[in-house]
Amino acid sequence: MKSFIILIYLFGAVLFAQTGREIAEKANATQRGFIDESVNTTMYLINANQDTVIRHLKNLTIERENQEDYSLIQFLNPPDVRGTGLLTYQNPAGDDQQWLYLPELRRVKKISSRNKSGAFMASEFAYEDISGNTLDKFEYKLIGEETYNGKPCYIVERTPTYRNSGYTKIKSWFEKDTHLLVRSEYTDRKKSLLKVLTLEDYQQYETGTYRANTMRMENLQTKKKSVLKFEERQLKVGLDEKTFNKRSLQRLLK
Amino acid sequence: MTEHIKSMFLAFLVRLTFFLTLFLCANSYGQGISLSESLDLRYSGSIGAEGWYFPQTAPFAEMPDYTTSLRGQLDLTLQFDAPLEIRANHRFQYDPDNSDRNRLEIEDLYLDYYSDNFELRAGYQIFSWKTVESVSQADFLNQTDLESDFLDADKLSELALRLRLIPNSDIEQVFELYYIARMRTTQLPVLPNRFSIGTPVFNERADHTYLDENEEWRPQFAISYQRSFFDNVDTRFFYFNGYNRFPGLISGFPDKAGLLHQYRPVHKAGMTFQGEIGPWLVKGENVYTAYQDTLINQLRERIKPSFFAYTLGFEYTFYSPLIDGHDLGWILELIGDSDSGKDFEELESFRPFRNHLFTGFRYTFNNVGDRSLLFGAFVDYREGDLLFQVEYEERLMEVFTVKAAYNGLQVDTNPLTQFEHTERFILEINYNF
Repeated sequence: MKSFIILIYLFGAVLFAQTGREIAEKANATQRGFIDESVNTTMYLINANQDTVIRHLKNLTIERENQEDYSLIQFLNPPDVRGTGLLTYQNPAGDDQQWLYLPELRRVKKISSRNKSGAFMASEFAYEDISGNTLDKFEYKLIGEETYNGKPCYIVERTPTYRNSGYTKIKSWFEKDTHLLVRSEYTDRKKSLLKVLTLEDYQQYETGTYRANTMRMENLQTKKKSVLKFEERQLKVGLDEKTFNKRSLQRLLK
Repeated sequence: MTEHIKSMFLAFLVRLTFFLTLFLCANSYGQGISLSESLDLRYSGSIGAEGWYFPQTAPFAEMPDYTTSLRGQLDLTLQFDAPLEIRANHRFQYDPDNSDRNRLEIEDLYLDYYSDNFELRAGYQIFSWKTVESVSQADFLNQTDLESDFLDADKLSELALRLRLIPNSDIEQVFELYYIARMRTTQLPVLPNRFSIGTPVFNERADHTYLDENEEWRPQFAISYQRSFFDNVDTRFFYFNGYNRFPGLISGFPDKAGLLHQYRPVHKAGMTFQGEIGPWLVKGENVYTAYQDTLINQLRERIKPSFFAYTLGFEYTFYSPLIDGHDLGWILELIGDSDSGKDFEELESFRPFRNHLFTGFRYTFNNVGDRSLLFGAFVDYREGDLLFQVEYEERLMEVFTVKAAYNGLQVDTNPLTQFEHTERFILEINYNF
């Protein structure tokens, strides 16, 4: 009888795990199908005293079904790093490949993509927080349901399966009706709650893809915050896969 | 009269930079001006000052203990609606105490056309084939400004045409052809420059000699092929036929009491690579050089030099080693060539790094100001000589960058021992717009 109860429990756990993955797959589907994307990003870096520094970026991304997405980021300020570019081939299952262009030296430098937990441009966002197409890099478990901002949500716990993550667990809230991600809580390697991400101002584009136009990340340990605001976003603009190479990195994006 | 012209020139530069800065800053984050629906002007630049203090006694009375200079840069890019770009990058330097170090340079002035399979760039250009962090063997296409800073020379632009062909294939491959129209000569430091070796050197173009009848107009060519291997290692294979950039020095006797530049044709062939293997970034440059003529070395022997030079190394980063969010990067590189162990007088030219290990540590704070601390050292594993640099760099108030550094030399062997008195403190402040 005891073995039977354990079996039922395990079976239920497996069912829940599958459900967690299914929710994540549906959530992932809301972000895919964009073909390609061009967006201007403003980043607000706010310290514990509420002093704010602003960064501007230009991002281009192209979607490649069942392959790596390619992305190009060009830094528009601060002025001493203007023109610096980052080319990323995002591997959906393994390690990404990255190259950095340093305009003063006219040099394209291969950089380590191992630094997933490192701060992106001194913000509270880590590289792993802003990587797209990462469905297969986590294990998922549905741990509950809750109303968040007046909307019923699934709560899914994600565990990174890749090396060098800065997190042991990420607890994420997905709206039940749309499967959009609205909140995540990040637990660090010391098992302490580290950061909270909230996503707002979702917009659906003609490709059916959803994008949040505001992302806020708050570090609960340092009290620092970073806000990403996306402007002039365009999907399916006709970018060519051939644009995403080390040669394009050396030119100013239009 | 000369002093008057100098101060007028300085006043002009300061005013010009001030008004340009005002004009450009008026557009703040725009970084550009829309000239028409299909034409944008993008800009960036800096204005700043640099000071060096040499704590050691100079070997010549004319040499200063301090060197200061005002420096500025203005980079302009015209972007068309078509796949076409015109770039004009300018740089100036004004040294109030040594007019030989004054510069008004066009770093880039070129037209760039690009498509998926074909690219053409024509005009004054600066190239980079560098993959390593210390001594680059492969980055030789551009001349360098040795008079301005002998141990950390800026590249000078070359009047060149670069053609790129990118065939359609699963793996990205790039063929490049370079044509460099004219040999760009350098300026070597002469007294009172702190890096002068004391012997007069004639830097005027009319005094230069060439081991080719077409002299500075001898055509120079390079070809290069780039592709990736194992999805993760970028390589470049190349061949160059042109002048060696660092001149040989020959006696001007009986016409001139001093040394003359001699530019010597060479063949260079080699390869570079940079790749990620697990947590390691591996990188290297290998070049075989063969001189096209027989030369006379400093021992008055006839030689026809050929040698293989390499720089090989790796980079490893420790993430959050002491404090969460801070990084420590470690670089180790081996620099050498097939003439390792030979006395420098037996060689054809100035080649100080032939049996060295370079190690560098960069501690980055990953803060808003990108504060970083750097320590780098070259160690001669045969002779025990040491060159090192410690450096602090940070951005302040978003638009200012400040750098403080100390260059140390503890060298007993030639040719670097002649520069031991050039140990220096460096302070650099820039306003960037």
